Amino acid sequence: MTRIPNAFRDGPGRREVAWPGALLLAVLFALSVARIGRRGERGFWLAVAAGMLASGAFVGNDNPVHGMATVHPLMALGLSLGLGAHRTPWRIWPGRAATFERRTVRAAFAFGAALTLLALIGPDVARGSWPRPPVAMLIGMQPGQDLLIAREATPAIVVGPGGMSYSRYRLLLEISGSQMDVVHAAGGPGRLLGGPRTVEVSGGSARERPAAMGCMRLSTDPDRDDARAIATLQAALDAGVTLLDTADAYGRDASEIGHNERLIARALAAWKGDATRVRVATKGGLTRPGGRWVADGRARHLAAACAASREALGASRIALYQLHAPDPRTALATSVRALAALQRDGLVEQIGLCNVSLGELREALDIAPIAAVQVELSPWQDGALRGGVVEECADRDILVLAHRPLGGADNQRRLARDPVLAEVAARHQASPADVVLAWLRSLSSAIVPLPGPTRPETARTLGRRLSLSPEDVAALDARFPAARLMRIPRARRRPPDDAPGDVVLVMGTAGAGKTLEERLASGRRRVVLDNTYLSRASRNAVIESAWSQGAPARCVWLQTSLEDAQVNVVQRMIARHGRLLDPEEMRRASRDDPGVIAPGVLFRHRRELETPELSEGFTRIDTVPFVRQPRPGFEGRAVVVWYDGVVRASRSGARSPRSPDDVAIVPGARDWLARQRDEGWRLCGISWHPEVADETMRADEVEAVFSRTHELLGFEIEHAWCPHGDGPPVCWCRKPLPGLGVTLIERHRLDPARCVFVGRDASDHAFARTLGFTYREAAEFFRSTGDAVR
Amino acid sequence: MALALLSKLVRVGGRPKHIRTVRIVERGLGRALGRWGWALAVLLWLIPLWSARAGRPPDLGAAWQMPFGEIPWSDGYGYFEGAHQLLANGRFGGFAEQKPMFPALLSVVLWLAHGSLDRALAVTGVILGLASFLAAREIGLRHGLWCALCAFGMLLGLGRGVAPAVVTEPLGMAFGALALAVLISSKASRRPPWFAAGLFLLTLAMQVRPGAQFVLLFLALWMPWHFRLHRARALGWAAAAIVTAMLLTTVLGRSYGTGESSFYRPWPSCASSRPLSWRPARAAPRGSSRRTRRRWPASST
Repeated sequence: MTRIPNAFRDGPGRREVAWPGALLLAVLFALSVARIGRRGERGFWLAVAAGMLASGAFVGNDNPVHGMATVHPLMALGLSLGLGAHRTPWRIWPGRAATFERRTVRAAFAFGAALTLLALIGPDVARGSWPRPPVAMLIGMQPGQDLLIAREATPAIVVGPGGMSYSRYRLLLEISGSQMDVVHAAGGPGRLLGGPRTVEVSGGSARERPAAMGCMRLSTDPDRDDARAIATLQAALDAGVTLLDTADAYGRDASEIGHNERLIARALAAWKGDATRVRVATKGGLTRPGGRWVADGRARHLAAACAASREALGASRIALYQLHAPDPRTALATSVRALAALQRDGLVEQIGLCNVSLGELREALDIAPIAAVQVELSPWQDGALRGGVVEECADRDILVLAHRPLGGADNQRRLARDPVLAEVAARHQASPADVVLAWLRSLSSAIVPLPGPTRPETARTLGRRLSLSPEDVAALDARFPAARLMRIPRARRRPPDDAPGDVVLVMGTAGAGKTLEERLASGRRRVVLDNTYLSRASRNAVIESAWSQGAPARCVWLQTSLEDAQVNVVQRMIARHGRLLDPEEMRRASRDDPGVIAPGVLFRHRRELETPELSEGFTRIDTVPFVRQPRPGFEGRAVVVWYDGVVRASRSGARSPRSPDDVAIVPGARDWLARQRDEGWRLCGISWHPEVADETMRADEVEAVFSRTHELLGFEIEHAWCPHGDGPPVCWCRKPLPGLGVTLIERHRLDPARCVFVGRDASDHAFARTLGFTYREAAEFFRSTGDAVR
Repeated sequence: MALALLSKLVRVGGRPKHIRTVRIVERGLGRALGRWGWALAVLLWLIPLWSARAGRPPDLGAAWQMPFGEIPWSDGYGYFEGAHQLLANGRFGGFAEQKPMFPALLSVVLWLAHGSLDRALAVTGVILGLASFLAAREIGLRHGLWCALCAFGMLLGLGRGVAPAVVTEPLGMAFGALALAVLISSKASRRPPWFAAGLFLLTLAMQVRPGAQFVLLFLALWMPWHFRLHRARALGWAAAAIVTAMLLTTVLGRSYGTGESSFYRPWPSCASSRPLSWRPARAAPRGSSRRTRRRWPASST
């Protein structure tokens, strides 16, 4: 059903303004129809009636205060009063009316012509004598150096020649005219000229910063509404938004892949503005099975996702295509190469990354030019600032798309109640959200906030740009100190290396054994901070705090391997709880005991670890390797075997015997084990039975299988087994995680160096290496024996 | 309107004495307003600006001050920013160039006002007052005092709601009012060149803000019908006036803009040659089909 919106029936806000026009149209239409019968005027009145009817559909169909509401009634007035009248006798000043009328008409035309001429040639004349700020052009600057000086020298206009785009250069020359001052780098900031305006030049290249909008919530909000979403998008576009950020994964689940992109395509198709000015940035690399967010950074997936996005957007080429998130299972280089291939094929104009660390960004930049990096950035989430991502982007002229710039739903109350924000907002009669967005923009010209309105009313505010005064900026910077990183060059923040005081930051993964407090003397102005500090952002908070007190910071990096950290964690757990905790117990215990750590945490730590660098601001980085000390009293020796495939096998061909009757002993195993037992070795065995988690076997059935195994062997082996299912590791007892091995060590006070683990595959090898056991292949022992399977 | 009705009633059914009194009052008032009404008109047009401050909270983010208050609409901020950019670097930004007439003129006014936005906007109010006064005076000359007052009241009633809100409207109304005066006079006196001049001003008004462009077309067609003794010449005048006005606006946009504007193109021709650009906005059903979906290059331009 076609619906033509107009002022006659649309909302009250529209009717309020447009009703005079609508009324006049109706009156004129009626008048025209009434006069159609007049001889000699029939054609004219028919035309007027038709014109009114046709035009009526457009009255107020746009923004309620747009031109239809004024110009059109004006026309109606003119037609009804003047053009439509048959006779127009002079009513005032009889006898002199012709003179007065001639003067009136001439004045009217002269007035209109003067206005037109003023608009046409006036700006050039005015511009010639308009006071312009001086421009300082820096020569001989290194990339990045001009940026620092630009920040220092505000409010001067600073032109950085290095890497600057041609159009910007030309524009700045036009601005400067003959008032260009050239300042050589040797002159330093002190020679820069002051001026009333500031042009931020980021990384030597300034670019137009688009007004942008994040569209995720239009598809993921529980109370979403497509019609409202389209109205919201169009309101944002009307407000001047020229960059829309979306992703194929924005929807409720896998069945809605591309929902958000299709919304944008519909909104743009129905938008009456110039859609070619609007750039759409979309992403690939996340899937939504069951509504979860699962990364998939494989090249094949990205290529398919890009094709689907182009189809959903109805675009032959995507303006900016971003990797939604690094995939832990796929090398970042693979994903970036896939994006670069899309760009090379002309399917995307520019490529970008999302949610990456500085190290990942640098790795990607070595492969392909990155145009934009999207990170979470808000006053309350400053990890991207502290982690150096924003600074790196600003130096390299990469756009920083800041998602959740207002902190998201979690920080709504915080946003509304923050006293500093409220004070600045009141000063400008603006909202705290406007202040936050303006503050983010003030940090760097590279930063483009991505607010995500879900209603047209809020979307209309996106075109506004609040201008913060220096006092406002100072107050906000004091409230959110991470801004110092962008405002004050590192050289000015950093105290001399020999300044009094010493802040030592001890970093490493969880379970790295950071007990250096005892080893590091704690003297005056000396602080030892012991935490994981995996990211540059977390370390930066410490460094900046130290610098603000005039104290240098140094780093002690405990280079503990993942395997050692795993053993440490399990040892700590057994020491505190007496046994291995199952996943649910770990979840509960971790609330009160930070020492209880699930296996996934360590893997995540390893992924997130950003190698410390001197460039972060440390005076020194001391690397301390982890060395496991011999434990007094732990001198026992044991042979630990993997049961399935090493000691026993399934007659039915299953991975492990499913019942006592299904057990068969591997040839040679019994004799070899008996020989070890006779030589005084303690015999232990471990196994994995996910059938219990799958509920295809019960624990007592598993124990019956073990009993049958021992019965066939003719002797007992101390055994332990993992009952948890497959998939990502959630317990410590599944090989190659060291839980069962550590349990045996602790229980029998074993010396790992004197223990032998007999297995048959790579995971067995990894298990032995983690624990420090000597690894032996099962076939190495059992091949020579001639025992048959019994 | 009530006064006009009262006057009419007196004329129809009143006593001769009362009728004479009404005529005297009309003539005195008409002459006074014809000479000094411009001051009253300007004053009346400044009232909406005052009421904007007194009666409506300013929009969030309106950073520029206007007389008696802040510009209560983000568009206004965009135009003023565009005017400043025009003065500073010879280009107004992508937003302001969509309606190039107003920011271009505003930049000149800002320059004349030495950068004072208060004074610049007061000048804009004066322009609007004078234009509406001229239109009302012409109507008064042709149709009498009450029609003039009604016309002015109508203009004020229409404009006061939007003048303080969208600062392009005053300029559109100013051009429209001036066009009205010229059109009415030239139609009555049957002078095609002047009528074309009125069409020219009216087209400019439409270009300041896209309005009822169909009316413009019908007017252009009606002109040769009205001046049927000089039909060919009238048609030429109408076409020349409209095309010239459109070209002027386009030149303005090209000169000071970055070529991204979509509003100064001739809308009628745009509508006839690119119907797809109209259809989705006016009549696209929800979930537009592949047939009606416009292929827009997300990045190729």
